[in-house]
Amino acid sequence: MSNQTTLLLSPSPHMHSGKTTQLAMWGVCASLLPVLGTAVYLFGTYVLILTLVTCIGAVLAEAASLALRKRPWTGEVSSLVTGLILALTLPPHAPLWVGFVGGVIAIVLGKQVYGGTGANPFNPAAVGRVFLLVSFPAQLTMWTAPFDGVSTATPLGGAEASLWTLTVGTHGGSMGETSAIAILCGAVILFAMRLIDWQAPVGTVLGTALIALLVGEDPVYHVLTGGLLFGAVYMATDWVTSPVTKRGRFIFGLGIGVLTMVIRVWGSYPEGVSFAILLMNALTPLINRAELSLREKRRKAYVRATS
Amino acid sequence: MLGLRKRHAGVRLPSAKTVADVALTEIPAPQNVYIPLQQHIGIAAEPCVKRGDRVLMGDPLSMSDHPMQVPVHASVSGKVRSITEGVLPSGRLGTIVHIENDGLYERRETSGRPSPHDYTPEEIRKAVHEGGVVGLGGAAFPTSVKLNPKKKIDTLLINGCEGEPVLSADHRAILELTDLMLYGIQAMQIATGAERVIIALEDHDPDGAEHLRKEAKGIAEVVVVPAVYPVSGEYTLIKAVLGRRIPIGGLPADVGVVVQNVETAVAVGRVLRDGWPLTRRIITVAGGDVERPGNYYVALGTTIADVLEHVGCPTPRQVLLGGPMMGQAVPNLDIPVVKGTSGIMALSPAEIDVREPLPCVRCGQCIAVCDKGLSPMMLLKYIQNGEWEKAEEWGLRTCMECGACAFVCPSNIPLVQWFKSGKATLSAKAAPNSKGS
Repeated sequence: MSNQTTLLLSPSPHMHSGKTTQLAMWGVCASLLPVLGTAVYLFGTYVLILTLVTCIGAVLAEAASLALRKRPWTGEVSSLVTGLILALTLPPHAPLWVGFVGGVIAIVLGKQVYGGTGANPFNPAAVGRVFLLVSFPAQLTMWTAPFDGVSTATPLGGAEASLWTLTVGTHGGSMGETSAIAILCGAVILFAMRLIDWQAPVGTVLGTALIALLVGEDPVYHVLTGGLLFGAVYMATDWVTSPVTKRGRFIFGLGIGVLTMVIRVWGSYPEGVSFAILLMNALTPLINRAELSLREKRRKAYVRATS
Repeated sequence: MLGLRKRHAGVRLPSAKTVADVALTEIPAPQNVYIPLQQHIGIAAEPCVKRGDRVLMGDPLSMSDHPMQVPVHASVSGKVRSITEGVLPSGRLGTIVHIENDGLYERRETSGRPSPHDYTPEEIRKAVHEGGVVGLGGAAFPTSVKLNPKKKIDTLLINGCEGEPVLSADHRAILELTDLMLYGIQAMQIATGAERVIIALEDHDPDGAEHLRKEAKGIAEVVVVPAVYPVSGEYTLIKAVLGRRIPIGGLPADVGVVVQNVETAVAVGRVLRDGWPLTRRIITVAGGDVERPGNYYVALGTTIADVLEHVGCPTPRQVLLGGPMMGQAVPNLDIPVVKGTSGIMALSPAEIDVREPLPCVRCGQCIAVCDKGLSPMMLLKYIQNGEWEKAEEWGLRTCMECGACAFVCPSNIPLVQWFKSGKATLSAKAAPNSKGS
């Protein structure tokens, strides 16, 4: 009855959806292509160089941190995603060193100090951007007009912009944030690949519009200007730093929208999406706790009611 | 017309019913069969044969009047070579009767009755118990116990959903053993006193549904449910078809339902119509390493090695008992096929799915797919941190190990393995005396 064959043992299930974090990160990169392409079209090829340098900074920082922490390099593409997203929030003609420093800070202070992928409470790209904004305000507000590169102001900074201009993106601003159409293309790609659900972005837009209406400003204008759409689609949907339930994500998005408007209307900065995202990141554990406790309560209430 | 009553959580699995169209054939019984006395949830019945006895096909090897002690029967005629302790498919030890097949296939005299209406409910339960029938969907719960509900039953729900990808034994039973199945269904309706009978099928089995709509007319209604795994689990199925929720720790009878698998209905039909006990079952044998995959009648007690030899699988690499979602990888091929075995898979290197786990990224997909309403992500944390009271409080024990969470986990975390070991720890803690010290 004996046989000598060695059989492989592994736990069930013996099947997987195949949708790994790794693949998801490549999906996010793909969804950023329309945004990056539009930025290159509007602001020139320097955008590509700046993006490349920012990504190099992020990936190098990831590799160096993992080496220092004596952790294996698992082929993570998430640092590349962080670099891409961060780069797209920078002004189109920011110095290259700004991009590099931002990439390094985003990975080191935004992620690795907490223990790496999955352990960070704050969105790394938002950490990088806020670090740059408070450290190098001049370089972070060097706005240039599309096509000719002449210095300009952003719509949030007082420049006139028509609805059409805001939609296609032919106005001053960070390189990835100006074109609503490009960002919506990216959102559709992410949604089609089921990498994000609608709750956080829609919540963000609704929260913004709601406060705009309350304070008597144009909600469409506030949704289309600044980094709001970009942040809603690419930063508020980060798996690690947003809540784990759908309703939680909606609340999280609403909070980002509301806080953005509070900063825009009453704060000293013209723009506040990154700050709002970081603040809501800080509240994410609380939202998770409330949501999951509620889920548990429902499960148990049912047991008591029927047994 | 019956509609679906309640949405349930879960996940759409890729359909992989590769042998659904392969008709039933028989794997000849091997030279030696090894029949465990314990093949069901409950207690093994006492053996009623001894070493050296000659037994006929269909002779009982164990007997008991207790409904939780289901007898087992000889699947071949021949000599009892030994009655010894051995490893059961569950991994536990148990008594195994080794019969050497004399190749004569001499059958015990049996008799049945032509119509289920010739039986009283009590007679049905007795015959089902003595015929060794247990749930053949996988759980192997004694069927006669389910047919003796303590509460008023209004619906008999026949489970024809094979949630596991690949497995198609139920599908073949529906198409090829329709008469026996309908006989069994009618008998079970008599035994439970259910007013209404529903056969539930998944939406990827339109042939079965069409066939039954014609054949089962006047006997049962046919309901098609979306194949969102794990709808085939009986709790989820009741929720999907009838909109009723069973209390956690409760039974389907608590909400007026008895659920029986289609192959169980066939076995009940065979016991009552022909008087023939459960000595073989249908098994889907598949996987890339199998040369002749298909749906086979296999004599209980046939070892996996003998099954694989018949279907052609010279160098198995990984062998599963069951389907790819809940099937267990076996350490050797000496394990016998029992009543609860629904499939055997020999995976090719391309099919073997061993993954390197990465840290949790809190995507929340495990929470979204859990049909038991659990939060797998939190349970994992509690188990890893050794917070056992929390794990218990958050429902670790109610996990049915369906594997939907691990299937979707983008970080490849072996959640089911964590939950199994966590449950074992909880059980050990609940019974401190059994551990000594």
